[in-house]
Amino acid sequence: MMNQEVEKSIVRFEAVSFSYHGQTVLENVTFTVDKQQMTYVVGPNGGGKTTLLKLIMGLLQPDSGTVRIFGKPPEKVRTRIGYAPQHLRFDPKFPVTVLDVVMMGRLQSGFFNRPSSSDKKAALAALDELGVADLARKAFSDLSGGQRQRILIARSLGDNPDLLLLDEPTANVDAHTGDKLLKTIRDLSERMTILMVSHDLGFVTDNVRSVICVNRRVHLHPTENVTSDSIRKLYDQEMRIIRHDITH
Amino acid sequence: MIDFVQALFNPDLPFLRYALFAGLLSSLAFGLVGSFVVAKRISYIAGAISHSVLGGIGLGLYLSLVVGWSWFQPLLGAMLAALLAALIIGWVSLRGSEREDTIIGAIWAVGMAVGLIFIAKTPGYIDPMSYLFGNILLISRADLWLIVLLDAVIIAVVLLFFDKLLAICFDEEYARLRGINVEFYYLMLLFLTALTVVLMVRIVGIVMVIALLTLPAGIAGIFVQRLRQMMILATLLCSFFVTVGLALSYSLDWPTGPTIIIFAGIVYLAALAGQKLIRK
Repeated sequence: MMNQEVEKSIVRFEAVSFSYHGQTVLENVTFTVDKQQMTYVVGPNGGGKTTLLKLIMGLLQPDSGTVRIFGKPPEKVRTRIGYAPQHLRFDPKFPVTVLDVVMMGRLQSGFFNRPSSSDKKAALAALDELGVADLARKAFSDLSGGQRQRILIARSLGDNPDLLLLDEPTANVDAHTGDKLLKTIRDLSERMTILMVSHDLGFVTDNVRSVICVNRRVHLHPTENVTSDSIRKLYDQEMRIIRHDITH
Repeated sequence: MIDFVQALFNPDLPFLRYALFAGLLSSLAFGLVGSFVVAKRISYIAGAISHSVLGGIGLGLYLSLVVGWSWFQPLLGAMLAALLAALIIGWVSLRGSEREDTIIGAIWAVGMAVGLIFIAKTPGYIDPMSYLFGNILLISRADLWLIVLLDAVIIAVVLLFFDKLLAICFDEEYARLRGINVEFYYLMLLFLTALTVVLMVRIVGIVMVIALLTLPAGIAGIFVQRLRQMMILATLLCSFFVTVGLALSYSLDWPTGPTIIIFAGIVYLAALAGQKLIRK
């Protein structure tokens, strides 16, 4: 009984606070994300969205409070998590091909583990799912922003994660590519629990079950309760940006 | 050039053959480790490690000649200094609590200063220049075996851990998410760099080690798309530079180390210029 309940909540934050160089980034954050749920993470820049993802992966440790993923500490289960960061932070000259990057999503930590042909097959399948199989042999540095973003999502699918974290997958991508990406992500949400950081509130629609609003504090809303009022409260003076976003 | 080839086969000039073998054998280490150094952009760390080596050499000279610990040879001192420098820099860069570039600069300068003081306090004429700029013509048969041994270590590590090392160089965060011990492999990379530097100091000297570590891999990076291709091409380029540099220095009667470096530097500039022209 107890175990079932633990497994049901994929992500559980209890009174989590985190500060960076004395600056409070997240304060007393409590929320849960359930299985098979598509959740949006929204909030202003510097509000702590990426920090939230890093706490989920155990790449950062909270100052206080507990983070539980699949009911366990993040470090114990992090290989079941897939993560697609923003493409802008990569060294544009690094000598890797697309396939090299996606293969990293299958990396095993064992001392003598080496990639096998089944790893390669899985990587190619992930590229195929994102509709970019033809790019496999290209240099990562030769790709456009939208292509790189899709490659990073393909990498995050490498090991068939149970939880997928996407950091602004549609930022710096043209509208058409963005639409296609969101369709792919929607398909993925049938198979796995997805947390997706986004500015783009226009897409908070049918398949999104809840929205986490992050601006130092965190508020969890079921989709039907997300109104322009609650968003106005979150962003305060940054209203104009939001207006622009919700006039769809 | 013909006189160089003749000299190579002259039984009275074994040092030239040894120099060529040493250059070719160490090209493997330069190409493999240099590619990691260039891809991860840690040339400055390699620079600090190589300069700290003088401190170890000085200590080795002092302990073996003055204190009488004949087993504590300069090479041992060099190895210890390089590993210590790698450990300190690795620790600082992983913890991220201090200014990394300042620590690198400090190790760079303090390492050299310690070395010069030990050398000054060791009686007899020791020319620091020979350590700073190396002398490939002084390579012995035993040195060659040492280089072979270090090559073997580097090849084994790269073959076993290539994918993990590639992952921590490209995206440390994702490597960590996959359960990789990033600290362990990053230190492994720095230790490999330190070993290679110690080995290279004998060939081209402390000051110019950075050039052979970075120039072949830098040129290779212009032409290839994958790290493993970079390693192969950098190794070939490095062999080429050492061979041609050696021949030029023999024909022109120039010091060997600087001749190799200048030749490699010219090729690098030409490759960069060629790339710019083609892009236009």
